[in-house]
This record gives sequence, structure tokens and C-alpha cells, in this order.
Amino acid sequence: MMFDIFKKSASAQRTPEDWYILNQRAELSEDECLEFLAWLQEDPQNERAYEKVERTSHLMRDAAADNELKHQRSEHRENKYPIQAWAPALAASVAFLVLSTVIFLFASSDRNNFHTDVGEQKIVVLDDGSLVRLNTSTDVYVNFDEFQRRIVLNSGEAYFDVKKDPQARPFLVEIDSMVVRAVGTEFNIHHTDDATSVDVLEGVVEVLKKDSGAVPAAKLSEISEGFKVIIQPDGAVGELVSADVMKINAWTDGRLEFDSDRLALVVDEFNRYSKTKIVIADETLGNFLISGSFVIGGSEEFAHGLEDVFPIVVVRRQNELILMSAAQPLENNRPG
Amino acid sequence: MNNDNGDCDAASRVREAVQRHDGVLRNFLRKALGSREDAEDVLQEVYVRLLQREKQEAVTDYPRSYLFVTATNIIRDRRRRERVKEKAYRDPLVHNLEQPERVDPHPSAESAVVWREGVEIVKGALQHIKPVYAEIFSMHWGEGLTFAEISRRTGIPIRSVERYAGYALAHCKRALEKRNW
Repeated sequence: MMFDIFKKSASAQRTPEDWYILNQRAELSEDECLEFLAWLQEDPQNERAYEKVERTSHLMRDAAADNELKHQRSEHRENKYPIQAWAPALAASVAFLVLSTVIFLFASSDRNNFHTDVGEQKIVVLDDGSLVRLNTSTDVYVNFDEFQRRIVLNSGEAYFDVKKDPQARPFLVEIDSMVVRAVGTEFNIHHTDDATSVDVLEGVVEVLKKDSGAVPAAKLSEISEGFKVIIQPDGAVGELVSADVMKINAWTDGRLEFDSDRLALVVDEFNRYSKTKIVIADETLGNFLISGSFVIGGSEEFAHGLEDVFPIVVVRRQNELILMSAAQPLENNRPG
Repeated sequence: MNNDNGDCDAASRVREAVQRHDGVLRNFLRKALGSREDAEDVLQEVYVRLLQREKQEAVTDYPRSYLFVTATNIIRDRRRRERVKEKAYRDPLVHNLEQPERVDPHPSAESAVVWREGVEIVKGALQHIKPVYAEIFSMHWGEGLTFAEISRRTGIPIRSVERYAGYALAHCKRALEKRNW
């Protein structure tokens, strides 16, 4: 019984398997890709079905790897599937800018310092393929050696996407006297003088007290996916609470996201990213609740946007945007 | 820049691929996303992924299709996150904890057992297919050869290779569904 994978119906409907096979072709065209993306959107079932096919293919790869010994094939093994192949340790590479338009991307060598100014963001690709995304006003020091993958977070906020290490070295992030050890894969650390927040988005991390020696000791907390802890400057580790997943997904995407947050807090956030600071002159204004998604760096637009929604007037003074109460005691219907 | 270690060649390979395909990729992304800003974001993400892969394993070359597929996967990831976000906004009880499903996950400690089970089901299913399909399976999923390369080596026309591969894929998928995996 012939299995005809490319069913040529009147509307040239393709199955998820068809699409998968098509996506392997070297001559894959732009039109085919656009068609594929459109097909995925036609029906939510399509994306799910396609993911099923991808999972099946991944399982087949693992199954083939198991059977490798039985089928000794060509001497020249070309592995096009990056996830399973563990490359031997790569020597230090020189930091470089990939493209002048992609100016926020850096490759790190074994020992490197990376820094962002106010409003700046950077992405650093480490030697093991791990990623560190730096948020505004952040300073990190990368220190990889043959035993450990160490990052020191001096200040600011960074998102870590940790890949498996061919040499199985632990991935450690140092913040003052604490060490966060990555057991899982993705987490965010925000370090200020007031507190340090560790949010885990995927996998598990451990928080340890740094020993006087080089080896960290005393496990203080274990944080799993979807949770976070707040660490006080004196080293006290708070209890597990829900991680701010949306806020973190937002900043790593260049946005700020709020969900019924007080204006006072929202203003503090915006101010982190801009040299032009928003100042709330009338304290009571700080209690207004804000929800929404905003582009990072859009302090001015945000402030003026407030005028449309709240009884607020924005006054610009040098490097400040001052929010004042637009109280009009005698007027009840103010336009806008 | 020193040329005496392989890693610098890798970095320059990425840079060269980026420069060679930049215009075409940008075009594609603008059409797919409709916004120049979004296209720029995804483009940057493509380069990040290329660099990451290059760090983990030397990729021998970057055909345009490879970049298209990488870009497409990034777009799919973004859409997935949008869907989860929408769901959470509409239903506040669905907390931040619901994460978009990762398509190609490293099996975590708990699901490693489940993954293993899946692999065994697939292995079982592959024991009962015709030799030609088993050959294609071994060459594509085992050795990682493209369908074009398999066609060159075996003399089987490429469309037939694709058809056999599709069959193997569907066969394994059916086996998994039968076992409710």
C-alpha cells in the first residue's frame, strides 16, 4: 500500500508531515516558508500537529543514536542537528560585533567584562553557547576556567539561558556573598542595593552562601520553575513566591509590561531605562493603576499618554518629566 | 584577529553567512511579520541562535534555507508566547506559571523517563518496516544526511526519498498515538 505523502488535492493541502519534509529541503523558498507560517495560523490544530511531528522526529533521532552500533555507516559523519552533538571545548574567541546593525550582540572569551549604560541592553553569547542578556545599567564579569563557568553580577539585571556544558562544569552566578548555581536552564537575576531577586523560568537553580574558599557551601534555597526568591542585603533569603514571568519575558523582548501596577512603581521602572526621569510631584497620583505593554525607552510617550487617561498634567523641566495633578475643583466634565 | 585557532573561523563563518543572506532574510521577515521593527527583532534573534550553535558545534555551512527555518522557528516561538500571554490576560486564574510548551526540549529530570518511553516505542515501531524505509531512517535520522545526499548516494530519486522518509515519520507517529504517548 503506497503512502503518498504529497496529496495533490484541489487546494494542495499539505499534512504536517509534508511540511516537515519540505522544511528539510535545501532549496526551500521564501514563498514556501510564508505558506508554512500561514498554514500554521489557519488553525490552532496545525501548530499542535506540527509540534507532534517535530517531537516524533526528535525521538527518531534518539532512537537512531541508540541503534548506532548496529548500523556502522559512513566514516564521514555530518551531523546537522546541533542539539545532540557536544563539540569539544572551544578555545577563547575574540569578542566581535556581528553586524553594524546588530550592535547589541557580543561573543565572550574566557575572561571578559560586559557593561550596559542607562537604557542599553546587550546579549552576550558565552563559550559554551549559553546566553546572558544584560538589561539597563548592568555590569557583569565572565570568568570561565577549566573547572567552572562563573559569572559575577556586579550590578543590574541579567537573564541567563544556560546550555549543557560538554565538560560538565557547574554554571555559577555570584552576587555579593551569594552564589546561584544553575541546575536547570533559564533564570533572571535583578540585583540592587535594596534586594536581589532570583526568578526561575525553566528548570531549577540553587542559592548558596559563598564560602570563604573558592567552593560554595551552605545551600540556602532551591528555586524551581515558575518561582522566585528575594534575597536581602544581609543575606537573608525570603520564601518562594511566584516568579514575574511576564515582566521578564517583556524586558528581554525590549518591552515593559504591567498588570494593575501602581503608577509609582511603573514610574520607577521607566526611570531605570532613561536619563530623562519621570517625577511624581503629587504623591496621590502614584496610586493610579496601570496595565499594558510599553516599549522600553518610551518614557516621554508614556508620560504624555497618562494625560489622556488620568487627571495628570506633564510638565517638562530640563531632564525631568514632572507629573502633576490636574485637579480642576470647579470643572466636572473635562474633555479627553 | 588571529587565524590560528578553529574558533575564529567559526565566528567568521557566522559573520559571512549573516552578510550574505541579510537582504533576503530581511525581506522574508518583513513579509512574514508585516513590521520592520519586528523583522529587526527576529533578525537579531537569528544571529544569536547562529552564534550559539556555532559555539556548541561547528556548522559546516549556512545555506539560505537553514536561516529561513531558524527564522521561522523564532516566529513560531514568539507566536506561542503571545498565545500564552493572551490566555493569561483573559483568565487571571491561569497564573504566570503556564509556560509555552517548548518544541524541542531537553528532557528535564522528571520527563526524562517519559521521553525514554517514547524512544522505546519508536524503536519498536521501526523494527517492523520495510528495509528501504529502515535505510532512509538510518541515513537521515541516524547520520543526519539530507534527502539530497541520500538520493546522491543511493541513486533513489529525491522525491522518493522524501516519500519514504514521510512514511517512516508517519509510521512512528502512529505508533506513539496508539500508545497514547
